[in-house]
This record gives sequence, C-alpha cells and structure tokens, in this order.
Amino acid sequence: MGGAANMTRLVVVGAGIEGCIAALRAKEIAPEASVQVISTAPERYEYETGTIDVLGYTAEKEGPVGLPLFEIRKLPEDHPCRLTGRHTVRQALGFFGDLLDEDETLPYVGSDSRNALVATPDGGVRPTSRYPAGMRGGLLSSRRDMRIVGFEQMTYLDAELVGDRLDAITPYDVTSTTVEFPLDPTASPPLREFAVALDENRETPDGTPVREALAETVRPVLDIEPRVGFPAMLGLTEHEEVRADLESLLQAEVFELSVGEPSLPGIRLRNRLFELLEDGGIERIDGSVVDFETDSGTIQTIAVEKTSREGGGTSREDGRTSPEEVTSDGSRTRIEGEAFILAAGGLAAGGLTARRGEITESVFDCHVSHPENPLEWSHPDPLGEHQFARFGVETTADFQPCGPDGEVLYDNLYAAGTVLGGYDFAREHSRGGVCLVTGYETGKDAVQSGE
Amino acid sequence: MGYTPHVLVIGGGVLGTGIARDLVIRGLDVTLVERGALTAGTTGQSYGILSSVAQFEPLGVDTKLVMRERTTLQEIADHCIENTGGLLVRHSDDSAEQFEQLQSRLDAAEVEYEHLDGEHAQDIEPALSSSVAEALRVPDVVVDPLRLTVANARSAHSYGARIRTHTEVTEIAVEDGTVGSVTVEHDPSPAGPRNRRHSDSGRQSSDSVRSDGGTPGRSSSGGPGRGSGQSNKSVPGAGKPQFRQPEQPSVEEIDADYIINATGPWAREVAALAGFEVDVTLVAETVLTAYGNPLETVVRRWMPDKEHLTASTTAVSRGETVLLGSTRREISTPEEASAFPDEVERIRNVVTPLVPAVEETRILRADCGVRSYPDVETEDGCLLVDHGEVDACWGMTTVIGGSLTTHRHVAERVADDVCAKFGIRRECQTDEIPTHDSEVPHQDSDRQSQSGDEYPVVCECQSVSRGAVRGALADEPSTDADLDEVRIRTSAGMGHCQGGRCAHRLAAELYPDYDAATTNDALDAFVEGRWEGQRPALGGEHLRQAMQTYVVSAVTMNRTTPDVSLVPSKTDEVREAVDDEERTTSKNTVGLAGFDDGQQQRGRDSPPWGERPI
Ligand SMILES: Cc1cc2nc3c(=O)[nH]c(=O)nc-3n(C[C@H](O)[C@H](O)[C@H](O)COP(=O)(O)OP(=O)(O)OC[C@H]3O[C@@H](n4cnc5c(N)ncnc54)[C@H](O)[C@@H]3O)c2cc1C
Repeated sequence: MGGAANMTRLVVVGAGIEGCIAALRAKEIAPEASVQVISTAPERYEYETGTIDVLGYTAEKEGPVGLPLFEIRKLPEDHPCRLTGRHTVRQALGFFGDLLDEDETLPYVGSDSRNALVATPDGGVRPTSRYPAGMRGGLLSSRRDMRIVGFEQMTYLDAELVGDRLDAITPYDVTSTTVEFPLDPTASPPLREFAVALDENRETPDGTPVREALAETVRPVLDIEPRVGFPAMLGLTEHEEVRADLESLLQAEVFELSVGEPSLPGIRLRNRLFELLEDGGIERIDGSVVDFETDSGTIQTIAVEKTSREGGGTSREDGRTSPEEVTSDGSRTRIEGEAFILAAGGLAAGGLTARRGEITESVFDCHVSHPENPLEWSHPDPLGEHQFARFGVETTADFQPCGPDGEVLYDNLYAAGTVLGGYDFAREHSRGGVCLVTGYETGKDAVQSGE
Repeated sequence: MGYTPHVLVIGGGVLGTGIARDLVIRGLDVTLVERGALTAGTTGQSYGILSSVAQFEPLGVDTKLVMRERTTLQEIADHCIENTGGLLVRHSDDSAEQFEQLQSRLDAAEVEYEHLDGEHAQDIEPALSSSVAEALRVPDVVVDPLRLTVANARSAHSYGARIRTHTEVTEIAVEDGTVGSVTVEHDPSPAGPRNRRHSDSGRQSSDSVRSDGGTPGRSSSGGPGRGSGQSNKSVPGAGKPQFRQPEQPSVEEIDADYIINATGPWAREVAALAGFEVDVTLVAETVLTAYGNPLETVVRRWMPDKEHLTASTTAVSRGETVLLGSTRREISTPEEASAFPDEVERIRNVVTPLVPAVEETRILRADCGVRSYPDVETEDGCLLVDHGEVDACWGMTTVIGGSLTTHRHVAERVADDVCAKFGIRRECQTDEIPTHDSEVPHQDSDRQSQSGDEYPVVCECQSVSRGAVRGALADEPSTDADLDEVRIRTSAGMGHCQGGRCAHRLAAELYPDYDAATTNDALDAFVEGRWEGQRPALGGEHLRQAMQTYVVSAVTMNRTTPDVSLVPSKTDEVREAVDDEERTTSKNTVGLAGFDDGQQQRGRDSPPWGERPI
C-alpha cells in the first residue's frame, strides 16, 4: 500500500501479547499515529508461561515438532499461521526479537527455527521457541547434568518428583533437593513474597542478605552439576540480577522452572511489554469496553469503564504481597478510533463470554459459531479434544471478523490472538506464534487500511 | 460364646457404613465392600440436610423419629454437623392455602417451628428475596455427608471391621436354598476400571501404554517419562527408592454367614445377582453446586407434588459453595441418571425467585443422584427384604430406602434383625458411642505463617494444607493412592476451580511413597472424577475456568501428548538399544540433536556454565 496515508487513530482492545505486539507494530509502521491499548485483563499474564511457543505439535506427527516454521505447512490452510505464511511468522518472531533479545531486564533467547524442550511443572517435556534467558539453563535439549531445587514452604513444584521423572527420560543425570527457603513467610502461599524478598535482597533473621542465604542453603547439596533450577520465583522486577548473583554464588548456571500459576515469567513479560508500550508513546488504559458505536459499517467509538489494578507485588505494606485485584470506580470514557483491533483473548481471558448456553464475543459481539447443545462443547475426557478450545470469532484471510456468510462485519475491525476461532492453539502449542503473527499483521493492516 | 457370625455388608454409602458400624460394635465380624470409593453413590450427591420435618421424607415417615435421629446424630457426629436452622418459605406466587395445610400438618405432628412474615424471614436469612411472603423457621441442621460416611467407616474400622473399597460384588452364589459365597473383584490401582479412558481422545496416557501387558501400578512397561520415576542410572550416594505398590487387582470369594445388601439405588441389581427380585422406586435428582456462599440457613420452598414424593426447591451452603436443587424424574435403572445442561437453567430459575444472589453465582457442577424408595409406606421410609422369608432362601437381606437423616435408625433395625437371626442379644449402642472424628489428624509437616495460616497449602481454594493431605492419605480405612480418599476427608478439589490448580499438586503428595507412574495414574483418575459433574454445567461462566484448566494442562503441563523419552539423537537409538533395552521399547523417543540446545542463538553473551559434551 505504498504511499497510502496511514490511519491516525488506532485502538487495540486487549493488552495480551497479541495486543501489545499489534500496537507496537502499528506504531512502527505509522509513528505519527495515535495508538491506544485498552488493557482489559492484565492479570491474565499470571497464566502466561512467559515462553513463545510457535508450533509444538501437528496432527501428523506424534512427537514434538523440531522445526516449527518448517512444519507450519502441515497446518490446515485456514490456520492463522498458514494464512500469514511462515515468512511472516519469521518476521513476527524477528520483531519480537528486536524488542527483547538484547533487553537488559528481560532478555529473551531461543532460536527462530528450532524448538527447544523445557520441563513442565510435573516433570514432563514441552516444546517452545523463544524463552526468557532465565529458562535457558533448564533446556532439556541441552545435554548437561542438572539439579532441581524445591522449597519446603511451597507445593507448586515437587522437586523430587520432577527430578526423578526427568532423570528417567533424559540421557544425563537430573538430581533434586528440597530445601528451606531462608525466610518465614508472612502468609501462604509465599511465592510472590519470596520473589519480592529476592528482588529487595531482604535480610534473613540472622542478618544475611537472602540471596546469599539461599545460595548457602543450596551449596552444600550441589555436587558437580553445571546447572541448578529453582521454581520460577527468582525475583519479579530484578530477576536477572537475582539470577546473576545466584550464579556467581553457586558457580553454576541458574535457571527457573515453570510452576503453573501464578507464573512470574508471565508477569515479568507483561511488565516489560507495558514499559515498551510506554516508551513507544502508546497509551495504555486499564478498563473494560462496555459499549461501542458504529456508523455505516464502521466502528466509531468505544466506551471504556476504567479499572485500577492493585497488589500482585506492586504495592505492599509490611512486606505482605497479595494477588492482584482489579477494581472499578465506574468512571467511563469514550474513545474514538479509525481502526480497531480486537485482541481481548478467548474464553479463558474473557474475550468470549459463556452464558446460559450461548457463547458471545464480549466486546463487539462478533459472530461466534458453536454447537447448540452445551454437552457437545466438551469432550468426555477432561484432556480430550474439546470443542470449546476452538471457540472464537471467524475472520477473513485478513483477520477481519466476519459473519457466517463470510461478510466482513465492520470495515475497520481486525482480530488477533486467541480470540480467533477454529483451532486448538493450546493443544498445538501454537499460542505464542499465533499471537505474535496475528498481532504483527493486524497492527500493520489496521494502520495502513485508511486511504 | 465362641462363634462369631461374619456379616458381609455390600455398599459404602452412609447406610452401609452405618450398618457395618452397628454390627461390629455389637461384636460381629464385619466386612464391608464398596465398588468405588466411600460415598461414590447417592450419599456423595446428597444435600446433607438433617431435616426436622418429615414432610420432606417419603410419605408415612414419622416426624418424631426424624427429630430424634437428628438430635442423636448431633450428639454422635457433632464434628461434621452445622447448626444452620432452616426456613420453609412461601413465595408470593405460591398458594397460601397449601402453605396453611403444611402448617397444620406440622402442628399435628408436633413439630417445633416459628411462623415468620417475609420481613422477619429476611432478618434471619438476608439472602432471601423480598417476594418471600412467609416462612416457617424449623430446626434443620446440615451434615457433610462425605465426612459423616468417613466417620462411620473410621469408627467401624476401629472396632475391627474390614472396609474394602474398589471392591465390587459381581456374583452371589445360591445353593440349596441358601445364599453361598460372594465373588468380589478388587481393583484398587488408579488405572483400574474406575479410570476408564475414552478411546477417541487421541491421547495416549500411561494406562493405554500399559494395556499391552504391563502390570498396573508398575512403571508403564518401558514407557519412561511421566509414567516412570525409577531412574535407570545410578545416582551417586542415593539408593534406589523403594516404592509402595498399590494392591494388585484380584478376584476373590467371600464366605459370609449373612449378607446385607445396602447398595441404595443398585439394590435391585445386586439382589438380582442372587436371583432375587426386589421393587425399588428410583428418582433421579439433579443438584447444582454453585460458587459463592449467599446463605446462612437451609432454604426450602414448599411445593407439594402429586407424586408420592415431595418435590422441593432447596438451597444449602456447603463450605464455599452452595447446593441448589433440584429437578426430579423417575427412572428405571440407576444408569439412566445423568445431569443435562438444560437442568442448570431450570434449577436456577426456580431458586432465583427465593434467593436472588443465585442469579450471579457461578455454577461449577451439575450432579445427578438417585434416591431409592420402597414401594410401600413405612414408618422410617425403609423396607428390609429378608430373602429367607420372601424367596425362601436364607442368608441375605436387602435394604431399600432410608435417608441420611434416618440411616442410623435403619442400621439399628438391620443389626437388630441380624442379631436376632443368630440369637445374639446385644443392645444397639450407636446412639451413644460417638462416631470417630471425621477430621483426620494432620501429619506434622505443617507450619504456621506469621499470619496464622497453615502451610504449605496444596489446595488453595479449600485451604487444604500438606499436613491435611498426608493425614488423609495415611488414614485408615482407605485405598492406596486414591486421591478421592483425600477429597472426601478434606474437600480438596471441590472449590471453585474443581481441582484445576491443585490436582497435580495433590498427586505429587503420593510421591515418593508411590512411584511416578502410580502418581500419574492417580492424577488422571482424580481429574476424570472431578470432570464428570462439570460437563453439564459448562454452558455458563464456569466454562471460563474449564478453559483455563485445559490451557494449563495442555500448554504448561503438556498433559495432552504422549510421554516421551529423550535420546541424544535418533541414530543413537540403536546404540541405546544395546545399553538400555527398556528405554527403546518406547516408541516415543525424541532425538535431542534436532532441538535447540541454547547455544547457537542470538542474544547469547556468555558461554554456558560447565558445558561438557556427553
Ligand atoms: C440429590 C439428593 C439429595 C438428598 N438430600 C438428602 C438430604 O438432604 N437429607 C437426607 O437425609 N437425605 C438426602 N438424600 C437421600 C440420601 O442421600 C440417601 O438416602 C442416602 O445417601 C442413601 O445412602 P445409601 O448408603 O443407602 O446408598 P448409596 O450412597 O447410594 O450407597 C450405595 C453404594 O453401593 C455401592 N454399590 C453398588 N453396587 C455395588 C456392587 N455390586 N458391589 C459393591 N458396591 C456396590 C455404590 O457404589 C454405592 O456407593 C438425598 C438424595 C439425593 C439424590
């Protein structure tokens, strides 16, 4: 669209990975444009693994995919990664890499073309493409002995079980130890509290800084293992510093293992992405969209009810940390836009609403098709292929939401990320890839669409 | 006396455990068999109301009896009973005349109650709607039916009864007009029949690997990975761990002197094993579990029904959840009982006019329980069918009916009858001897945080600590490596995420007592058990949680794909085969050479620690 005038006002609804990437990409294409991001469910990052999974499994292959970009061609034709093509997926990964590869606070690493294998919280294996540097030491695809350290005060990760399982399936030794974290928690579960204590390098009761005290606890059990893994709680804001300190104290590579939820690697990624938005001159508004206005087939404005976030290690009194709470004072603002990107996530994030046997898209009420009988939505096996995992909006090949007839619903609306229907991104281990590439594409298309 | 008769009680619901307890306290030799976990039948679906009003029992049940039993249970099982009180309410749309009839019936039966106008009723239960016109305040109490049954079983066990769960009666022999031996199939392994897999799931679990000849409970025959915890490499300084094995499946014959069939809705099927016919009326009743606790008292709407059963709309709090009901229909076999998505709305629609807050609660599950009734009216709602009298075949009695409220009394009748048959004259003592505490002692792994919480916590929704989980696992009687044993004792996994967040952590508590394969199978079985009741309720807000749980299971835990074994490279497999036969029998080997090892990538600034080739 060379020479076409860009949009000047873009509104992205949803501040997940797809929303942030869309906004940043739009700003890159059209630096003069005003880009706003409505952060509808920022607490959702607590469930993000913090890794970018491009493609882990295809229907054809039983085991994990080694070359995700290469295997994209095996996906069904209307899969978002097929629609954009693997070159665009590569570009989107490059875009993400440019943002975070050299980052000081949260460097991301990983190869664009080859998947790595990392451990799951119960000692299984999962493939991923890009991951924070703090997980590099824990790659199961790196052939070095490792030791896993768990903490008595938490049950997120059973180090012994994970260690023994990994030991049984890897061609190197995996050993484990469970130790006392050198602080008494004020409340339970203490994951965030311990992370914040490490950030601040608080003193233990005997006056030792906690990072040192932790290293002292672990050192005696360390044998010759070149790498040592902890549950993902090594600091929230000063993660890299905490890790570097532990590495030099322990003389071994220190890494983190996912614990499920709350996922601090996810929260760190959010905090960093939000900073990047701010640095890029992109306004972020915490709130939810309660209404929108249209005019001749285009969306004109949205009404946003503002919310504020508290807790989650960001505000704390007397050392206590709490999970995040979202509150609203009920104040509303109307936001105008020339183009809109729907990036509010799928069912889990609230981008889709299930109520009384109906599934609706929560923001613009886009068409979502689903079987009428809710019993067909799920599989009798809790881990079976659930229909509900595929619920989402239908779009054209350009990711414009459309009706059952394929007609675009609003000329200036795009959809990105897990709000897209038709695929089980979780089972494919493709959520990261889909979020990056659809954010990357719609961010560009939305600002270029106005001429 | 010398001779102690051996009685086999079939059924591990509240009634079977109650009967076992009574008999063993009277000195008889007792074995109880239950095909699932305790409370697997109707008992697990019950509201738990110890009603002060017989009007909610089948017709004919004596109110004085109900009142007396309620009081007795409060005395012997105080630890699992909450004195909530109850309100029988009339909505302004309901007939005032019928409500008056109810009142006169209560008067006639000398039930204590207090009449309240709508406003006063709201003072007592603020969650009531203002369209409640009037209410009768009755002294209902609420019992946790799971814990009551556990308490009965623990008590019976302490007197020497054998309580055998995951043990199903499959045959009852009859010879020469006498009931002979009973065949039971015992499969306690988590991968046993209670953990049936759906073949079309496209997922290969460790049990399906196992089905080609592996022994249950052992690491999945050559399928290392999550299915295995036994390292085949030597760990310096560490001996090979000794794992407990769940009991092996077995088929056995039990020769008892007398058999009590206390299988509730399955009574007809079990009697039929011996060739006996009994008539049981079955009513399937669906109850919702909603998250949020808007109630302090039991609220029931009086809706008289033309059937001999009395339908009622009920809302009862249990912990952080509230039970809402119900829809009822007569069925002919227990297998027909199942909850449907449309019942969710129907129930919500009848409860909301009484308790408006229900409109906004999240429905977590819809479970269908089956009430069973004799087809005749009796004083206690229960009929004892002595097959010696009815079928001229000595040795077995089938118990039909009874309720949570009357179960102790029914058990007393059964035990009186059995004792009389054997000429034993011993008085019932179950109304005096307290049941065992249903609160299982915590193991001492817990500590207290500065704010007083017990930690570490395993199930956050229900605040269940590691000590509580381990205490439940160590409790007797219980089946090895069965996480339902933990659930019925602690309510773990019964909160708003239905085990989504804690199931794998609960399972991890089995390790290293049990091996990794058993741990994994126990997890699968538990998750599956929790899933069934959630499915019909997934038409609403809870679908969000279900999706969340699924995403974590599929992505973070990767439990949707087969276990793998990592080898240096695919071509090394041949060499591996010589080194380690076991590993290569798994077809799911993954060659590491094809994956990122973290070394050639952009953004890499320092060499990795201790890099060494293997
Ligand atoms: C929705 C609902 C709400 C209720 N609410 C109340 C209430 O508020 N108050 C009240 O007093 N009562 C209530 N009841 C009634 C009460 O729950 C039951 O009367 C009581 O639980 C019956 O207990 P049981 O031991 O007879 O039967 P069950 O609990 O059904 O036990 C029978 C057991 O036998 C086992 N079994 C079956 N076949 C075999 C076999 N072949 N081998 C081995 N074992 C076998 C089953 O697995 C089962 O566990 C309610 C019932 C329902 C359905």
